[in-house]
Amino acid sequence: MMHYAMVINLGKCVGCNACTAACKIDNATGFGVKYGRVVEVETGKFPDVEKLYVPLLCMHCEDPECLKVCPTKATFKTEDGVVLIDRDKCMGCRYCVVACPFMARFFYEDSKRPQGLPRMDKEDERLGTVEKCDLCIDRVKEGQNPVCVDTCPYQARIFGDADDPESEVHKLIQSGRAKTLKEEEGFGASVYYIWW
Amino acid sequence: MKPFKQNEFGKRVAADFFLSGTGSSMYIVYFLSASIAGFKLNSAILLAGPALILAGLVLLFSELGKPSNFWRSVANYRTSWMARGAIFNFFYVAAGFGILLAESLRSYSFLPWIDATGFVIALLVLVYPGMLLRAVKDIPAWNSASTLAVTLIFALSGGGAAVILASAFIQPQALPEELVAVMVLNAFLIISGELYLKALRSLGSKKEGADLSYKEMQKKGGVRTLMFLDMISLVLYIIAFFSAGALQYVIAFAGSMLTLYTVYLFRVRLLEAGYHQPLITKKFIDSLKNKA
Amino acid sequence: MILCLVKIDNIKTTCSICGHNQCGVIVEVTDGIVTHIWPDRSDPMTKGSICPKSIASVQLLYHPDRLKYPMVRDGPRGSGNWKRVTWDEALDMISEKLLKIKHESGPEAIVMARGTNRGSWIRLFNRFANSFGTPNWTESGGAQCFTPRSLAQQLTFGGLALEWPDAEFSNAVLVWGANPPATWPPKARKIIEAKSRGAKLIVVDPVMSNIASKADVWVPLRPGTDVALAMGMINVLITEGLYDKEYVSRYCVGFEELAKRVSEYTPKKVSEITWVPEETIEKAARLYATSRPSSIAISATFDEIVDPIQLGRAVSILAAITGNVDVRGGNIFPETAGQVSIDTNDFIMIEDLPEDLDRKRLGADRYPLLSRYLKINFPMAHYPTVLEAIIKGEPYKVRALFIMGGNPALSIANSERAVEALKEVEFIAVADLFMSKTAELADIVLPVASWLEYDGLADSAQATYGHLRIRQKVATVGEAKSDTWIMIELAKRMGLKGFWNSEEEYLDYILKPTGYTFEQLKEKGGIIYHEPQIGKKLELGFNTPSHKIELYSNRLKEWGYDPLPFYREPFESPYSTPELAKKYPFVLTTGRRVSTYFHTAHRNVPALRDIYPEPVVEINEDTARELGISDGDTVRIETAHGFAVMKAKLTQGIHPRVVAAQHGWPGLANDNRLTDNQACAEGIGSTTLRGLLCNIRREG
Repeated sequence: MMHYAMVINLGKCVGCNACTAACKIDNATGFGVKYGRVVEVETGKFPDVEKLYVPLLCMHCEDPECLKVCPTKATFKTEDGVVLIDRDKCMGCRYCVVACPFMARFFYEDSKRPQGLPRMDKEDERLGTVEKCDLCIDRVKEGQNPVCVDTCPYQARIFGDADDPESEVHKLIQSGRAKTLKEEEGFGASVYYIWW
Repeated sequence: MKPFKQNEFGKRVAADFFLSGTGSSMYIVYFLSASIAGFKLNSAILLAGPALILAGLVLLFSELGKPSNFWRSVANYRTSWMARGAIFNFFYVAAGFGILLAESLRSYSFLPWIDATGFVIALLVLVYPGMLLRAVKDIPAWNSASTLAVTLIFALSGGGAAVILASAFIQPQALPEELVAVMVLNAFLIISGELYLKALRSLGSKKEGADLSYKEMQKKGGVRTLMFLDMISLVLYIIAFFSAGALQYVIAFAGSMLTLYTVYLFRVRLLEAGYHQPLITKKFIDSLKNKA
Repeated sequence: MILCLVKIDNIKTTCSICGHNQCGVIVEVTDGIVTHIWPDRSDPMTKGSICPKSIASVQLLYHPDRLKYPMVRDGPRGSGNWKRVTWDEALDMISEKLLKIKHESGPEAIVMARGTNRGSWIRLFNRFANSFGTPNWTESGGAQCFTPRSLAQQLTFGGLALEWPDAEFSNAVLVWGANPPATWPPKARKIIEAKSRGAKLIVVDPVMSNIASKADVWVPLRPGTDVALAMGMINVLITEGLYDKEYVSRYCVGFEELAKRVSEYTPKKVSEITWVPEETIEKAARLYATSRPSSIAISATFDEIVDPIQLGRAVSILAAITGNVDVRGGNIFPETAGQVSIDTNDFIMIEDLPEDLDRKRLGADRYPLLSRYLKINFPMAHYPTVLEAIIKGEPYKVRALFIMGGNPALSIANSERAVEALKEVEFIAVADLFMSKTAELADIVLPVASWLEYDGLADSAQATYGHLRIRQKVATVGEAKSDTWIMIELAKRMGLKGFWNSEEEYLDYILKPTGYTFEQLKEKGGIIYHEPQIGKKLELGFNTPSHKIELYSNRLKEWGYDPLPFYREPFESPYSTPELAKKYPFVLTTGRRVSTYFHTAHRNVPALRDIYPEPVVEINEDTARELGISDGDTVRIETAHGFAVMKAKLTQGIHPRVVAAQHGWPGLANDNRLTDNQACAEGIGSTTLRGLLCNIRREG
């Protein structure tokens, strides 16, 4: 059984956002829609400050909240653990956007776009429905990596089959060093984080 | 990182929940009044209930990004409270019109069954918005049982107020009894509001998201203000009770409008205060870096 | 199935979105449309570094607001009415006008100004100006970017070692006034790789930037006090004997004098000046010196303070006395891959310019280190002086501005004065990708090609290390042409000496010593790479008069400047102008960068704007709360020179009395509304962009 997972090294991530740009270009997303993005997290008090950059994306949970709340069954999960949205079924109620614990779902609103910023091609295709990271499923099916993984200049992201004992992600997850966000809640994220 | 709040459910969804809650609790009040107190309210209420629900559905429809898929909304009833809600709403509207039809045909023989079915469906409609919010595991303020309880109480209060409103026009002789009922409901509302805030506050000490929800609901124009307005409405009801004639209608009307307004606003505040648990915590970072 | 019918090309080329890093990239072209830009991990130099700007160049390419054809103003200046013309018409007009002005008022009446080149035409522009005969070429950066620190390094090492940290092999990296993850991805990649190996990182920056967040030692100094810090660190190393005695005695001159000068910069004194605790200063110095080999990465901060020459010198000295120059893992010297080097006096034809014109260069009298030819520099006109020459006509009237890839309306200090000058000057021609704020005020606008639209070479000093790559044209936008083509065509019309018949000829000329033509090199794979030749200077001598590293600079002394570094307070500070500080109690640093924008460019690229949508000023969280400012509030920053309006970002990663404003936004958010262009650095004329005084309050 395949189960796709990603491990992101927060020691290496410098918050450059090359991944965010690549994801936006590849998916032609509208303003405000960032399937993958990077947040800054700061703790401490000057001058003893710690700062981290954390890339976020859809966690492709094993027990997805979005799937449970979706009234139309537009949100579904493939056999290899990828959570997807069937645009043809989605009615744009955004219950899933509300329910997602990881801010991973987006509903484009043109009013948010700054004045004067043009809309590029292909933005219209998803109007009215919810959208999110699909783990670049088309690429992954061809044996390639998601765009963010191949873009990172610091090679901070590792992707593979968590069920394959030979894969790097499997080993990192087994090592116990890799943690998911909101682990205690049991959503079962497939995106892990490690430190160096 | 601080807790983040949801931004998708706004005033329109609050209005839909409000209409849905009021419409269904109107029927519940009607049914309870008929079966327990033996007091039959005007059957125009049977029209008002489904009409409000319908209005709510129209509002919901206009809020959808892709309304052409609305018919699919019942598909995931197995796990989704929105799908269940859609089903309950459809049935309620159907049952509402069914009961009205039966009433007008005066077929007393099967009336109790239909009335009872309508009551059950009304209860389901009453409960679904609270359950829909409760199903959001990651928003602790919504996920708590006390939130469900207080939304039900607010809805019932709203239903009572709506009945008062209707009666002031069409059945003014019923007003005195109804006023007693709503006074009780309002008192109950105010008490439960206070208890709710207390419960939220203690939840806030355990879950950061609930803490921000509490602060948001506490601030200016928040739940405390609504409680205050409800107290005024209670006073108006009391005055109305001791008044008569046109004055009674007017004061009762004012009281119920105020109650309805606070019930709607409460929904809005609740949605505005939908704070998730923080995404990245210090605990997470420390565990990642292997610190104690 | 369908995929077979779609033609996908993966073209190896080099990005030049910033003009400096020249990261190797692979451009994916699907059915003739550029669809994606990938990092080229096989590039032996950049090894897969890339930034959001490069990736979003897909949107830049097809942006609806791209200038597509030459245009001539059709109405009053700035009215926004344009008339389309052909290239021939436009170039003829420019050529005629410039020659006419040259004939009437002398070549010095024409100022050729560039911003940052995005491509190797950086030095072609110098050559063009010198061949045309005007001494007045200048850059928006210029005195505030690269030039001062370049001179300081030339004086000290005879080469640009501080530009080249060999970080991959370092045990410690000292990043000073730079944020490589935002602006130097190839350097950042090396630093992160070093860190993965266990190397230590020291970062000197008033703000906890991307790279500072990775530091083992973060040194948040008061903006503008860098020289004091450097001298303090040198003091620690000499006092504690942590410098490399053998290296110093073999390869350096002037150590005794240095030691004497540095003795007054005790950690205690330096701590008072810089607001950095003594222990931190000592820790930083010790860590850098004892981790050999250690390297240093620097950037534009070095040039934007009250005394850039001193800072460039002080930090060069720091690298030298610790034995970290021209060694593996330390700071090494750039070299070409055998092609004609464009960074030479020969290439820029400076010696063709008569001496009297050299003396007439605007700024030559007050800022000789910038504006006179010293043999080890590329002299340029002093921009603030240029503005006054346009507006006031003194020392002589400047009648024309030829601007390529520059946006002085927003990017230089006292930008409002620049706009005045742009409105006043008789003739302006601007070459740009978009209708920038500067282009709006032009008489003729020329559409320029982006890095995806021309053939070229990645061969500027900061990109090469025995490494030469080609750039390949993968797309065409309207009638846009490369800056190189524009200069060559103008040179033809003007009959300028030393130019070529075509872009191809120029590229082949540069490549000639390698034995390849451009096309041949392209066939071969588009890359020439040699392993760095480290240690050659140690073996054969440094390119200085003494052939050693000159800690003490006789040349500076000859020119009338201090031969050793010393600290002086910024023009405005709590100590130098205490009265002013009462009204403006915070220390301001401007010019903060982010990874999605390059100076004033790219706010109109949707993918990039979505990452950093608003102009931001960073304030200490506690200070902000005292002032009633919350995160995200609109705030007004005021200095003695003007005000700006930005969004507040509250952070603990900045000193409570320091405020840091982002660079390059248009309108009221422009940080150059806050800066002054009259008080300039001694000798080199840099405007102070970091180390000013300001006040800040919530707006509305």
